[in-house]
Amino acid sequence: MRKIIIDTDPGIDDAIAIMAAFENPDIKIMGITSVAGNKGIENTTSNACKISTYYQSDVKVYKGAYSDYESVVHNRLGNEDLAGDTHGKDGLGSVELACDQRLLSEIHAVDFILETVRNYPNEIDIITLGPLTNIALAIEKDFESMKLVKSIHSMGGGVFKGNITPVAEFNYWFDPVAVDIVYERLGKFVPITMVGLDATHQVVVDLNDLEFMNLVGGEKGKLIHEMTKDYVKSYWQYNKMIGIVIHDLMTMIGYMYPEIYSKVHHANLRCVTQDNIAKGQCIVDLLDNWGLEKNAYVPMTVNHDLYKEKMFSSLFGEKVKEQYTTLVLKKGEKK
Amino acid sequence: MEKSKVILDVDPGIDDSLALLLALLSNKFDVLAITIGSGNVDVNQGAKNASKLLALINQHHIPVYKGVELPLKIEYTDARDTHGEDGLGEAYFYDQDISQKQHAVDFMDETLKKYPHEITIFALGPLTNMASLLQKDPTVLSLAKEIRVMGGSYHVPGNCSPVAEYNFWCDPHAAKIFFNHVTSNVYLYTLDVTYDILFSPNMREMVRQLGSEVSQFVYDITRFYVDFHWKQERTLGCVINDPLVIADKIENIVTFQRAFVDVVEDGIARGESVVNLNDDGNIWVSKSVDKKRFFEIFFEQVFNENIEDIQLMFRKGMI
Repeated sequence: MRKIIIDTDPGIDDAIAIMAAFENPDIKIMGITSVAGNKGIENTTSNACKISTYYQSDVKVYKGAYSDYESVVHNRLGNEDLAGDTHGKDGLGSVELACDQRLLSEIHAVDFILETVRNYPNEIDIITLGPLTNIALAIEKDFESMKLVKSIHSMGGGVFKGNITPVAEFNYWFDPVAVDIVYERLGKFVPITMVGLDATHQVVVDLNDLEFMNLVGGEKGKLIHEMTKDYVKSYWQYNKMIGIVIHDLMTMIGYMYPEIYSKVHHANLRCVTQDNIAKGQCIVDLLDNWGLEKNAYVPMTVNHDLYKEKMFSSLFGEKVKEQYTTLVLKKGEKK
Repeated sequence: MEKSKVILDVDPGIDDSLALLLALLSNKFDVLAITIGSGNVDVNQGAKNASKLLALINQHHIPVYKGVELPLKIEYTDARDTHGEDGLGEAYFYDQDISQKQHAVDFMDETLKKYPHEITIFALGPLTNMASLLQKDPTVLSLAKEIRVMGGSYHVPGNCSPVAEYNFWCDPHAAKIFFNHVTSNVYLYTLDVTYDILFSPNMREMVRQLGSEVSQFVYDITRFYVDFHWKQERTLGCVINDPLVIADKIENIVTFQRAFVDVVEDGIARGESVVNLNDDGNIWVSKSVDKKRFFEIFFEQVFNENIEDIQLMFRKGMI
């Protein structure tokens, strides 16, 4: 059984990714650590708690950084809640879910991560779905322990694509200093996979898919269909797309089934930390121009159909996947 | 060019309502009246639904006439399982009825005589009103310029039985009288072509995002229809038969061939349309359809303020 920590800022796409982890019997979620990003830390913490509660699990939620790395270190206000209404008012669209307060731990996210890694050296995979602030803080606090992380799978960045600016992706732009710390310091000891926009945008989960979940996916499918309404609206408004890119879900499923990526580069990655127009851009040296030490695994191509099948089987099981494959994916043009 | 005079004989009905929207918002027709028959819902509910639609698009001046309440010889079976209790997907439950006092059959009789060879009749429900008109005056339908009928199937299964389509199955006697006596220019749009008109969840979402009152209405009334198509046929999306007839009149997108058509009145083949393809046939039966063009026409005419977004979605292949 693989042991994971999910570091996250839910967020609608985070929530769906966490659901996929709960559904997987081969994965043990050791804890969920929250971070500010898509929403402020109070919201992301309680949203993480809501998903754990929904699964009636005993997986605890550990509250983490309230802001970006520099602001936390210097104890000042900084980036807290900058994603606007993309994820709805509270971060989970318009759905109302309960949060079982007993799942909210007193232990800080950074301490939980370090303690868990020390207890299970070379066994813990960390899936990061938000800004890398908690991971950077943990590295600063106890670098030697963090070298014992088995792997990190991080949603963020982009090689040729941005979303918050023409060149920067939201998570990495939110806290570029943390990105630099994580890859530059840890990348040579621990395999870190950067799941960026180049990969995530290769699969649009359109309304045919979401409607299929609604019709076939039972209570969970209805929940996802409802939860994604605000997200769909924002993709229409800002991207003129009918459908959504569920970045975090791809990160989680790529962790479970790396075969969805047909091409993964091993390269040097740096992040623009200066406060200029390229702030937050993550630069991946695919052609090894700089000749610097390789510190990141970067998938650039995704097998679209395989990913969709894994998405449906991960969330809803084999039977629904089979039905989806026959009735939607492979149907093509209706006669 | 003068707009063609049309009468819309309908049983609204979700797809009938979409046909009405296309006919009324395209501004291509001089709509003399909406006449109602019993079909998807009964005449009274159908009249309320037509009233709702006219209120929605602010075209209160279009008169609505109620027609024959029951099939000619057999018990009436509605299609509320497909269209919802109110016939409009249970989204609104509108309760006002603006229909006229005059009976639809009398109105059509009078109007066809007033404008001989000028009127196109769109018959999108069971053919009860048409048959009653023939019973009243066997020659009157020959005064229509053309009659465009949605119903029947021949090379594809029916939707009410393996061989029968609902409109003909609901009142097979009326359908038989119609095809046995009609002499005017008749175009029959069967399930063979309408099955292709699949309004997908992606299209439905685009319509919602267009953000007008009409788009919300279309989104709302089709919810039930989508659920039904999934439960009944394992089809993702809903088949919208009736607007095809209107779109084809706006721009020819359906091909036809000549045929003789007869309808089975009872037994296990009740309502089956027996189509005898024959160059000497007396009517035109649909053969194929340009479905992409249908949706371009439908979206661009009904949501003409959003043409840019609609064209962008076609270009991106999202709809």
